[in-house]
Amino acid sequence: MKAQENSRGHVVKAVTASRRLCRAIAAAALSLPLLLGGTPASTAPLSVAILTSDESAPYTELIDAVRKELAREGAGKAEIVVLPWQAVSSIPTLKSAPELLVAVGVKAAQALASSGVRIPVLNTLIPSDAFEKIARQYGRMQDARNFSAVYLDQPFSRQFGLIRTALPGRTRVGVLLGPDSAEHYPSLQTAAKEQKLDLQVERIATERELIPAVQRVLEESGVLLAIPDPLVFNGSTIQNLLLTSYRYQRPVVGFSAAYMRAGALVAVYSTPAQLGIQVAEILQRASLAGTTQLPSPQYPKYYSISVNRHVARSLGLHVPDESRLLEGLRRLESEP
Amino acid sequence: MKKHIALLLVALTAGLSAPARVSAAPADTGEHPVSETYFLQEVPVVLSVSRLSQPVSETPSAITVIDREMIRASGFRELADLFRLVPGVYVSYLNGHQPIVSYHGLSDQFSRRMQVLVDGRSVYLPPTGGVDWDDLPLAIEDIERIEVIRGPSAAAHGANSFLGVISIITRHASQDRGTFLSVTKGEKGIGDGVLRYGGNQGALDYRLTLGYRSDDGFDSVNDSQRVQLFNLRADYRLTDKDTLEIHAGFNGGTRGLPGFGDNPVDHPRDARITAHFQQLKWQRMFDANNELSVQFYHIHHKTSDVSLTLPLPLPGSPQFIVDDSDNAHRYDLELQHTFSTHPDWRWVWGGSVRLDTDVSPTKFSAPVNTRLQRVFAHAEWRLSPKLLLNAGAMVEHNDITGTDVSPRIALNYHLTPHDTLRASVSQALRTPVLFEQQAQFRFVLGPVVVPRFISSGGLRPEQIVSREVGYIGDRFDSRLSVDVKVYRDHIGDLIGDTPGAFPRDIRNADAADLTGTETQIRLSIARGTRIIANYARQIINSHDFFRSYSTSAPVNSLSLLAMHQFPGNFSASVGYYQQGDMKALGPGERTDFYRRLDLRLAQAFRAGAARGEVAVVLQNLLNDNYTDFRQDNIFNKRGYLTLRLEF
Repeated sequence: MKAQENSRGHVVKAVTASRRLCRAIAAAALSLPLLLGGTPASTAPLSVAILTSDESAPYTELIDAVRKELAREGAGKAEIVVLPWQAVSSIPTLKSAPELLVAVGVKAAQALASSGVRIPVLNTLIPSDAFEKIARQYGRMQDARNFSAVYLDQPFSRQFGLIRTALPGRTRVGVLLGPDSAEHYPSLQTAAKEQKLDLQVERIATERELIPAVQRVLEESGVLLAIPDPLVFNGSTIQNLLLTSYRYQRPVVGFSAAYMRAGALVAVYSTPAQLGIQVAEILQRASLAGTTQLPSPQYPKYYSISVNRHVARSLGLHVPDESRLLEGLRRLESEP
Repeated sequence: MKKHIALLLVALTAGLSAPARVSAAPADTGEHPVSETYFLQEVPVVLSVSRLSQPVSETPSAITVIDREMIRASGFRELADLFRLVPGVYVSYLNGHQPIVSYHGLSDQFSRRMQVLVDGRSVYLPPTGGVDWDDLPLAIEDIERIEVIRGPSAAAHGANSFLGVISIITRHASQDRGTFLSVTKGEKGIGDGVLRYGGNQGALDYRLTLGYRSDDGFDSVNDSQRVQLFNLRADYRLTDKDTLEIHAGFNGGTRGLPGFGDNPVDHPRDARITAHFQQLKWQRMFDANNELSVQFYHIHHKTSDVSLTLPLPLPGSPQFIVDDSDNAHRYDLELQHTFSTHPDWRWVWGGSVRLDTDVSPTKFSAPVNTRLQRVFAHAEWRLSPKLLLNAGAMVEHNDITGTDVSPRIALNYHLTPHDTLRASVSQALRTPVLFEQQAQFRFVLGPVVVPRFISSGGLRPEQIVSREVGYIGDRFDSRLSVDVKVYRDHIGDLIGDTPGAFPRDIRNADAADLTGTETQIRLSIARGTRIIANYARQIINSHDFFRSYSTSAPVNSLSLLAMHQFPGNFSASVGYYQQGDMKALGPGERTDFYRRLDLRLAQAFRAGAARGEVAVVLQNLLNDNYTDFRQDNIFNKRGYLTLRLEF
């Protein structure tokens, strides 16, 4: 607040007057969230504590992206304190008195859920399956406002949209479901139907069934969509899966950039930095609205697409370049 | 022998437990199998730059791929018969167990103008350069695919890739888990069995195959075979970046040798074959676009053929012992580096050293050996999105002819994403085989030595310059593919024996011009319903004394394979093969135009956890009894039944 340099007395008067004005505004601002039913927050920056599962690159990348995004915009400030997940018990006694917690990774999410800490938690860098399991386990399923997430994995609709954009001729999509992914069958069916794709599913319960199931699904479909499941896709099975799909001349749609490098034709994925931006946006909105209510758990808003050009060429597939694919996918997603 | 095999099988299947459950993704939190690590972790690169083959529209030479479905639908139980499905390839039989496979003909009983590779091992054998197809320690059920390069390819496939290259690739050890059993029984003494077990121990995948094959060959010809074979393949992932491929195999058994006419020295008798090989290949992936491989293999092939001559028309009717045994070894060490620094370039370069040895009392006067060293380099360069250049050369040094260079250059132009034109020129040199260079082929009958082939040595390599123009097109999401090749080859310094002379010498003598066209059409109407059609037309113009090269390939040949999957897991396939008049080189006799029709009917079924199939194959249904290579070899109608089980 600018104070006029007049005489000392005048300045004091102006400052006193402006301070009174500030308090009035503050009172009004304070009462608003009370009317809305949330926890009142101060106009001071939002105090956030980030609990990280690990010190390695993906986690620090995410946190750095949060910081960078928060530093950029003019409004909506937050003060970040980073803790290792093992320090979960120290949260209630933290000097910064965090109003919102961010859990990066499953370990941190698990630790916070089990700690009984009452501060709202935004979980991120966590697969949707893992989040739901933790939420269910600790009775936080219906408590989206206080226990929410920005998922790491992509929604099925986006995967099918990618197939429609990158491989327009291929309408039969093959999928291998294992014990952990079997529950997704209904949502997979719905998402496929919405994109006018035909789903061919093979279910396995043990690893022994994998190879015959792969061969059957590859015979019936024009592209294999990888659905994360540790029994189906792991360091040991990936070799056989990619080799077999290649021999059948069927492209594979992977769920990470690493799979694309390994031999999948294309993958849509979100980097930790992209998730970080989305987290920062949520924090900013919370700070601006003066609330610590969280939005419902959401899939990543920002994503990247990578194409393995060598595989594309070898399979004789003419896949548009990444920017065209992003454009096409965004267009599909914006359609009602 | 059979009892021993049975015991061994019982021991194997009893001792090996179900494959260990593979460990789940690392760094999990225990209760939550799918953590973020699963999405963020690095995954070992599988489809690396050397594993990704060029699409057919970008290869420097015309190429034909035979896949597993075609192998199954053809109904063939002899590996060599599969090449009837390649336009321009001549398949025949010296006798029931000695097939001859050669692209564009130009072959006697030892087809030595073709490179034949099995998993990268060169299997044409030192003394004569021919391939003993039935002595390969390989079961047809273990083949993943066969690539036939129609044209010289020395730049990429090494010495002897003169007329063409056959590359047989077996299944990766991880692809066949569990137990597989197949039993075949039929006419003409046909009785085969295959037992295979595939398993896994952590990063090691392995596959063991035991096989037995027997038949009586052609009627009234002493050419039956009893083959026992064993094959092992193991693929071991040492680290995320290193893999080790281990292959080993054995093939042994008895073979009937029909002899030659009424020659008392070369009369019907039995021989024993013992063949085995060991191969080790280490592959290091520096990254997805940079790979190094080092390979070593050893092949041993031994024929035991000691017989007593018939009483000779001499005073006293003496009989002598003739030892036409052969003992050959090959040792080969090869290094290959594949890399791609830019999406528009790919380089492959490498080198190898080889030692071939042979001991044969009748063919050579002393044990012989020959050494070969080669370096090669090959590049694919995308000059523009529509234009691809393939260029390469091989430099080879061998004991027989010194140093030779075989270059190749090809341009592929994509008129549209579905139509490609190819133009290529390649030159290849064929190193004479040991027999051609050093033959001292004679029969020692007591004090008398009867020479048959004595080579004066000093041979130059044969040369081929091949020019081809081709069109490759695909439509309907690759359901229809068309491949047309038009070529003109000139072959010079052909090595052959001197007819009329006694003993015969082996010299560089003649030249031949080959012109022709090959067409390959593949149509895939639905899953399990395919039609493969091949047509070849070839004119060979040569000026040798008997014009024998000119007739060594049929002018027209046609093959058709059609298969259809009916409801209820019933499938049927029909093969039709037609070949014009010709007369092969060497002891080949005139064979007339013939038509052959094969039929295969199969019913798949489930029996509990097992999957199975019963199939009946009928060959030469038209009963157009044709002769193979020699007029004694009459191929008439036959049938056999196969039962397969997988569990």
